Amino acid sequence: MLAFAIRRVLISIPILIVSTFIVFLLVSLSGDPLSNLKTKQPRPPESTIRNAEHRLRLDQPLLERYWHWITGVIHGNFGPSVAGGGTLDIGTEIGHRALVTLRLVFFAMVVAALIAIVVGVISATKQYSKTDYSFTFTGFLFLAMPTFWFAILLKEGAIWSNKHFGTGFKTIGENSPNIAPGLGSHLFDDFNHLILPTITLALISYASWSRFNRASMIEALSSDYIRLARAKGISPARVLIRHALRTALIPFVTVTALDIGAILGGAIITEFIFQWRGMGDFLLADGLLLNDPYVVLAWLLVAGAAIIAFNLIADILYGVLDPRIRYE
Amino acid sequence: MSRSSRDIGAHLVDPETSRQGDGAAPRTAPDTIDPREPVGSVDARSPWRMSFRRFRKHKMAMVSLVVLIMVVLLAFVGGAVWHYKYNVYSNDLSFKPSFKHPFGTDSTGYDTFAEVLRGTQRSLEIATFVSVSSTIVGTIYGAISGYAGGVVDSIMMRIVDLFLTFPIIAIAAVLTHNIGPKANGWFWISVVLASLTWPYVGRVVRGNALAIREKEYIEAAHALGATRTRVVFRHVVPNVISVVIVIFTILVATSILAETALSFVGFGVAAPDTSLGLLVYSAQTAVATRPWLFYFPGLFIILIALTANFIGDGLRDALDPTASKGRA
Amino acid sequence: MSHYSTGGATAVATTASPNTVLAVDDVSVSFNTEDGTVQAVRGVSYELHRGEVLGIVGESGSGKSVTSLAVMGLLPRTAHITGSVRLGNDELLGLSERQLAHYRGQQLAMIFQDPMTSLNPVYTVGWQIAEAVTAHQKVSKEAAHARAVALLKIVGIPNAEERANSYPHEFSGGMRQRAVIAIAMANGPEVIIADEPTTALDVTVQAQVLETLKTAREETGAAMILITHDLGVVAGQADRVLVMYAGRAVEVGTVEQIFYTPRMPYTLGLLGSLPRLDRAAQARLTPITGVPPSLINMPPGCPFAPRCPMAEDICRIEEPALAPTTSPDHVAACHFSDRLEGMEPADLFHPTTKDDALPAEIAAAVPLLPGDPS
Repeated sequence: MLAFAIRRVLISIPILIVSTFIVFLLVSLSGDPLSNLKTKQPRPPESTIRNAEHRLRLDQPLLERYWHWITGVIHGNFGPSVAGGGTLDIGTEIGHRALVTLRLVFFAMVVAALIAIVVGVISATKQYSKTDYSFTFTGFLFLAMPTFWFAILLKEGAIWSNKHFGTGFKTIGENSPNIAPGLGSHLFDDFNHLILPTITLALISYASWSRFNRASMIEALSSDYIRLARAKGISPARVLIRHALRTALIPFVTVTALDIGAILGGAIITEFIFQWRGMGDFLLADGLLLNDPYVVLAWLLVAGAAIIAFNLIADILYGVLDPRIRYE
Repeated sequence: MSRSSRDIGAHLVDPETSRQGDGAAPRTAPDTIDPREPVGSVDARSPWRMSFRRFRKHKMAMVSLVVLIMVVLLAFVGGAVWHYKYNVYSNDLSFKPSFKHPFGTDSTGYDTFAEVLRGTQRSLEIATFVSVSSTIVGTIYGAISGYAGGVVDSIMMRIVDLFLTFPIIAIAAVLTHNIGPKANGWFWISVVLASLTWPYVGRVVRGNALAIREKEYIEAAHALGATRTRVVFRHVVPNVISVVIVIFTILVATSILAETALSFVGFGVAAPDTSLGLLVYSAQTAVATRPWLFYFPGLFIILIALTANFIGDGLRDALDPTASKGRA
Repeated sequence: MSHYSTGGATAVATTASPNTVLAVDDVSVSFNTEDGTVQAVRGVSYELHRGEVLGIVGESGSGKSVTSLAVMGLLPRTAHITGSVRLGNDELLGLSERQLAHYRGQQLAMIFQDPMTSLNPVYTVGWQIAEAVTAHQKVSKEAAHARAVALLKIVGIPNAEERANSYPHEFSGGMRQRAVIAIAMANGPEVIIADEPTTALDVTVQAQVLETLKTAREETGAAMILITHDLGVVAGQADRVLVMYAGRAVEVGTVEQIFYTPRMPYTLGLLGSLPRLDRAAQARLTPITGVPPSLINMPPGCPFAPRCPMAEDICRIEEPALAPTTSPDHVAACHFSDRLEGMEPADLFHPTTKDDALPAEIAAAVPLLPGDPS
């Protein structure tokens, strides 16, 4: 098991390294960090522009810049920022932002997985019934739903509900500014702010997983070992959960984990709508709008590393769930 | 989706013959479709005619096909003949939907119906371009990689992994955030999206090509003296085509969701042109007060993505009825 | 749960004696498909007596597996089943899944054809055997595990303690099948149904598995239904034989009666298709030409008529019923079963020649073997 995990980690490292270079290339070619400065009215003096250029190391050749950056990153220095007038410590800031987004992504994935499993199992056991068709149609509907549109809808719905039913949905930000001190009230407030974005992201994501689970369950249920399990005389519920679902969960875990990229994409949009100061806002506002290459680079690095780590966990989890894989 | 329960009996009719003995391919990655020859029936019918028959039986797919065609016609033909143009404003400010303005107007007097049609045109153009180009590139890439196997395949797939690490919207935003108002911006957006989606096609096609390679009928063909080219064209290509057709339709849905999301955050199609995403963005604050500005654009996005998905599902069932993955 | 309705008349006299553990009475199974209604089983009846081995023989599509799956209640929901299946005094057809679970694995056990896929890949073999035990007996996990190890020893798995903690993919095909037999034996069943237990295995392993099946019978005292298309397997293991063709029983008798005095042309043909080591090496096989009929929209008359060398007009009009022949316990479904007295397969079926075995184009490409008539 350990050897398997180590091998997986070792394979990931070259991919990560090559990724960082390609990413650096990409960002360098995708825009001029000084364009906002240069288009200011009135145009700033040449010396200011030169200084900015030097600070952002734009006067150095590409490879040197890359080396400077990547060695800095290893020491926790993510480079000079444009955002915050050059005073922003990208490393610390992205750390905070990452935690905020992690909250959302984690809960959304858990909720989506649970919904997908339940819907998948019910659909598979009641194949071709009205329940099955409604689940399928609902799933298709959510698959076709734009995240931003649905998020706005939910937000408006919450506001309306707050007005008419006095509910306490929070629709702005990831927490409130003036909270009574104490872990309890902080957690409660965080949770309150978490509900709507989590529901949004979970509903958008569960659909393809539930279809996959349904297909896996149907396949498992028609397999020979399920037939034997039934022939053993164990209870139908146990056959369903301990045998069919257990085997169907193996590819499910992989599919779920591989979707982390899409979920992160959805999280970016969801954060945008609910005005969270998470990774999404960091990329869009601080990074792209301000043409800040080092912010964008840091973002891509952290996101890329997180996704690769996720895939790694998925691989390992697969090995845990499927004994046949462990001994390859 | 509306298939009768009779259909599943078809492959269970004869439990006498072991289903393992037909040279079934080893379990491939979760995102491939297991290719098998169409289940033999008593009379010899061409596989394409049988597929067509099966597609006709899939009610949701047929309905979706009709609806999608109607939407396309409405967008292009309707958009051309409609007497209001999307970029000409009238004096009717914030009108509710009526005969004169079926989808109402916005605060500047633009006719929402015209805007929605124009946005739909753009989104469809982009979606088509992205789907066609990434399907072609991905299919060729995947077929070569899968059929070649070995080291070539490993390297080619590592490159695909690289692409698939990041969320599409993040990289797309990085690449397009400076395009916006440029002329032919929509073309470059299409190019960016296509370059980010072809790896998905590549991976699926490669998985299929790999599975087909292992199948016994390929060995048999070689044993009978078929050359590699003949094998590729008579056996590999027809099986891959089924997968490709299905992937194509799903890509249409993915593209339109990606493009509208990109336009929503401001890095896609921008003024003076319009996109359904942009329309939703402008309508964010008006959901409660002028709902027609919000719901109609969203409806069209959902319609296109939904119908494309259903058609894809119908095609999947029609072209490969023995596939269990992802069945509705 | 399958579609079920009670049956009516019996084809063969079935007075339930205390010796009968399983009584199958006029069971029919049909499936609705795209192309029509498939009559997979058409009125099969038999009795299984305590401790005996009943061999059910037939080609693919004869309905032999479907009949047994109907007994166990393992057919899909699309199956329409009529008739009666009595285990002792209990009627099994029409019971719910939960009710059937009471009998399965306890009084009624089944072994399937493909050992490579019969076991769940994610649980250890010992766990899966123990699960069968705890499903029906109130014992602790440790006791169940001990029983699992003991069962593995009985079926001849070496290093049973270690092997109990191994996964199925670490077992060979023959060993997996023996593990499946261990599962079937776990709770001392009265009836074990073995559905083509050796078909998917190598010849050398087949003998071992058949040996294990015998051990299972001896240990549990169970009666066995042995389903196979291989007459050789039947010859060595069965007490009585039931030959099936096109969804019906066409001949039933003791193993000696079936092998030495067959009274139905199909049975005779089956015997002729077996290579015999005691015959001259140059003697040719006498296969039955043609293919089994489609089970959809069957024409009237005997389903074997198109392939039967002795078929006459009545055979194409009226399907023969199972009728007693030389002795009341030997029945055959043929209008002319008396004519088969003393016949050898070669008397009725032509041996293969180079010409009528292969189509011309392929025959031309196949090189002559020594001894072939040129």
